[in-house]
Amino acid sequence: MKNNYNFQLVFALIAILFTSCIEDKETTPYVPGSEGFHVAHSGAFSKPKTASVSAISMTDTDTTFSHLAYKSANGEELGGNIEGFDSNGQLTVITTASTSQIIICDTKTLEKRFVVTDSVDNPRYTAFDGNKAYVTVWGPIQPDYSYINPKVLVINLSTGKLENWFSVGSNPEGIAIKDGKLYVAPSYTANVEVYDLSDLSAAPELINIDAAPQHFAFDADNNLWVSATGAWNFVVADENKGLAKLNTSNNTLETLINYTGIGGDGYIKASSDGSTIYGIGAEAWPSTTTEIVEFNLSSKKYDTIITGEGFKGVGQNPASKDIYVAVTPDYENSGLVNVYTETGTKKGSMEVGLAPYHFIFY
Amino acid sequence: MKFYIFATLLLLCFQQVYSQDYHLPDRELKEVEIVSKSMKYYSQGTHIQSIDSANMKFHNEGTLASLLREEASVYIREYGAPGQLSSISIRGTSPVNTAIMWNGINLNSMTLGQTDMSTINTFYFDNIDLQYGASSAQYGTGAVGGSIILKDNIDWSNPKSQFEFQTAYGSFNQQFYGFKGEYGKGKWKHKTVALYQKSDNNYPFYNEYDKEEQSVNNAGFEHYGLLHETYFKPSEKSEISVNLWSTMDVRGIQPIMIDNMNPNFNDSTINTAFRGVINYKLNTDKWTHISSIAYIKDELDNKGSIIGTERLQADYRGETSLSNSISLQTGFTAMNIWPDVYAYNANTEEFRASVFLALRYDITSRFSASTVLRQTFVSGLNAPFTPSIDLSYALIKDFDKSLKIKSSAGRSYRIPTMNERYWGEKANPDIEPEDGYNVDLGLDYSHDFATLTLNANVTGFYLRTYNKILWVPGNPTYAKNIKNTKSFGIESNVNLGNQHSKQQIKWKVGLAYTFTDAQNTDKDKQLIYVPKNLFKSFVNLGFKTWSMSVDHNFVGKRTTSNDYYNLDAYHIINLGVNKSFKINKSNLLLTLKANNITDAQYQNYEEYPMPGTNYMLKANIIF
Repeated sequence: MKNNYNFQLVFALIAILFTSCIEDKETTPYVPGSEGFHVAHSGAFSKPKTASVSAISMTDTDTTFSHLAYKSANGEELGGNIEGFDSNGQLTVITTASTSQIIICDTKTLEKRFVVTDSVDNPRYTAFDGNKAYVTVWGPIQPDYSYINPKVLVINLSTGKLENWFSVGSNPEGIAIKDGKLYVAPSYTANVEVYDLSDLSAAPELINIDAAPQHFAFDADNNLWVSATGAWNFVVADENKGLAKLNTSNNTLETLINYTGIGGDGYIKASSDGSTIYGIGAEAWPSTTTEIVEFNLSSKKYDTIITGEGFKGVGQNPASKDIYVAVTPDYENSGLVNVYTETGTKKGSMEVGLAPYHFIFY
Repeated sequence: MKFYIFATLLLLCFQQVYSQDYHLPDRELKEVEIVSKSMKYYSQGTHIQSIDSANMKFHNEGTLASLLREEASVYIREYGAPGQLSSISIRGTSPVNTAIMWNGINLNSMTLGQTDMSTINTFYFDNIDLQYGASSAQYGTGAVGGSIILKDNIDWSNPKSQFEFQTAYGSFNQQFYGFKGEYGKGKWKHKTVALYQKSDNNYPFYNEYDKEEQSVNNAGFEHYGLLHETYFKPSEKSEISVNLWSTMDVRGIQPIMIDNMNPNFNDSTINTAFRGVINYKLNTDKWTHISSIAYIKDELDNKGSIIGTERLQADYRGETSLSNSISLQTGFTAMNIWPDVYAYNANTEEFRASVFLALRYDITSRFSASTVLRQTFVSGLNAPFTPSIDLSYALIKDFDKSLKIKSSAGRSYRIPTMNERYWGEKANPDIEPEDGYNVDLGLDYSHDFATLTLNANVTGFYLRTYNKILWVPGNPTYAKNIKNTKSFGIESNVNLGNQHSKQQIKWKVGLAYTFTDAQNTDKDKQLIYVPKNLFKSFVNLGFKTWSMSVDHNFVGKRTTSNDYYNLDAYHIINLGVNKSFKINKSNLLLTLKANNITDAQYQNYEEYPMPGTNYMLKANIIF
């Protein structure tokens, strides 16, 4: 009896041992729905495996969440921290900073079409024009942590080949195309550079905004706006920060909606119908109070509609008009996507990958 | 003002000593040795692992990181090759939550809060104690998950001089040259240790990003070190010693796997450290007094960006027996810190002091209890009052076997590092200290059979920390009290051998298993880089002048910041063969080591591949 008791005790201890292991979490395989959205997670610095793309797929009967949608679709990791995540409706361009890749994939299925690495050093964001993608590139990092040879790459989306490139101002971030002109935001300068798509070798026109240009957004009337910020090494007067409207007919600064609280990332995103532009105030750092502001493009004012900690990205679901906010509580744990009504009332929250950043709705 | 307080404490420290009459000691003193009980004596309820000189002899060409990885129930976070940044996690706590003590000095950087264990070579030391669990009452700030006490002893009972040379060569151009001497006569004793170590660390690995075999780049290091100690006994009752230890580590920073072939990511650092301590020990009728003054300077140079500190520290400890069964130790520490950090405001400095009292009562021959009380003072901060209590009871106490039940409970704390308080424009001098507590309960069983010796112990622990400080990667970066954590688990060891028998073939086998469940209180996920399961085993065999050992280490899966990516578990098997020779009056020991003989591919920190199979040949001669 005593031996039997001892045996049971040993067995119980062994059972505890083997059930106390750390389990690998499984994710739902990605199957695109009739509609849905993708979330790009930039991941943590120096940890490329923390970057991922997750997906919510909706059908008439079901909603599924795949945490590792890109991996599920392609059988491999992204292989680098995500920076840019842009779509023209059919194709999505994902840029990875740490591995310097430009990944072109199907917007809906996320299946990889091409990976461009030729001449690619620290790629950032993408603008589309027909079957061409224009991608800003910071250039190779130097021992003093500066970047050299900034440029824009021209990539043929049908072949995945690099067709052309041209030099631009330092640390080019946002990029946009309108009326045959290419607008580039070199974020370590105070100018938006304007290139003629028909002659990319020509010197650009400069639009001085007296602040660091970061990202572009179009409103419903196809007006072009750019976020105007400062940076740790680029001191900008508060009166020059905010959302700047560019006059694209004469390439001048038309007006500025002054918003001194805008974060250094200059993250802005147009609403789904272009009637307004959302921006993120303060830095999207963990445990830092941040806010989502809605710029009133006609009254030239802004309203804070959502506040919270660690806001890193924002987008509006065109179907429901709900506002989706990417939240990074810290860089050691999963992030969140909070869902709000159009007026900023919280509806729900879902756990996603590390450092969620960009949304693409399809 | 702080200077005057500090100077007064210094004067008091020595005045206490000189104001005593010279009398022969009457208690527990070896013939020519002045002994004050260490804090270990007041920690009898905790789990303490002692790594003795015999065991260290087989690891003394390596660092504290490699020794503890092989021998202790802890997890070493290695950023790649040996010699790269290595930090420790005990009981699931952060690297800043382990105090590393040498001669009363906490070696942890005042700016970074931790010690890079790759910069501490074990050749300097004779033995090491590893105390698991909170011991802030005993050792002060940072002793939350555990404490490591480095010891370099002088043997007054051996009047002869002894010298030791050691050299080793191994894979990846590993080289080691060390000298250790203990010499002197009469009232003087000296100990000198000098060593130089290097490795190119250009070992092969499979780069999963480039999908090819590559050699690790920019991971080499060089270590230079000199330790000298002089002891002088002007009388049987007093002893003066000077301990000086200087090290320099020059190393490339191993890039993450993805950047291995990009020389633009190559970086390097130079770590220099100097520690100097003057000790004065005195026995009187009732008291043993130890006072010391120490100067410590450490500097981390990264391409001209300096992060360094200088500190001046004064300590006093006095110990007495209130009766045959009650021991009392009390004392204080005072320290002023002058940082040299480019990101601090000019004229930043910090003053720290603490007073403590330790009491042990051996209530019966089986039952003892002790308590340690400590209060720390820091300029501009309120540090918590830190009590601890230890209990030990012998359930069985026979001539051939014993069974002890041990328990301890203690509060722990960590004073924010200077970086956490003073870094950048968002400096936060009022940041709260980390606070917490730890409870241990353990059993220790020993049994001497006719030819066999068995020792088994098991300790369960529960540890909580509050106000964990994390870095917020803002612009600029700053530190903030953010999280609370908890961990619980068990540490267990079983050793069996015939090493004390007269049999020709000596053998010893051992097993150690550690289970750690550590979580942030707001999330149901194991803390990143904290394995739940650690398992170690070894077999040692000895026959005449030959001996061999096989060590096996299992490290379980570890979570990362990606919920869907865990670092794989791994097994490492190491093999060692030793042959000793007697040459006249000298002893020569040759050691051949084959590490990771199964060529396991593994990582202790994601993106930093560790070495595969590697070899080392070591020669050690003592004369």
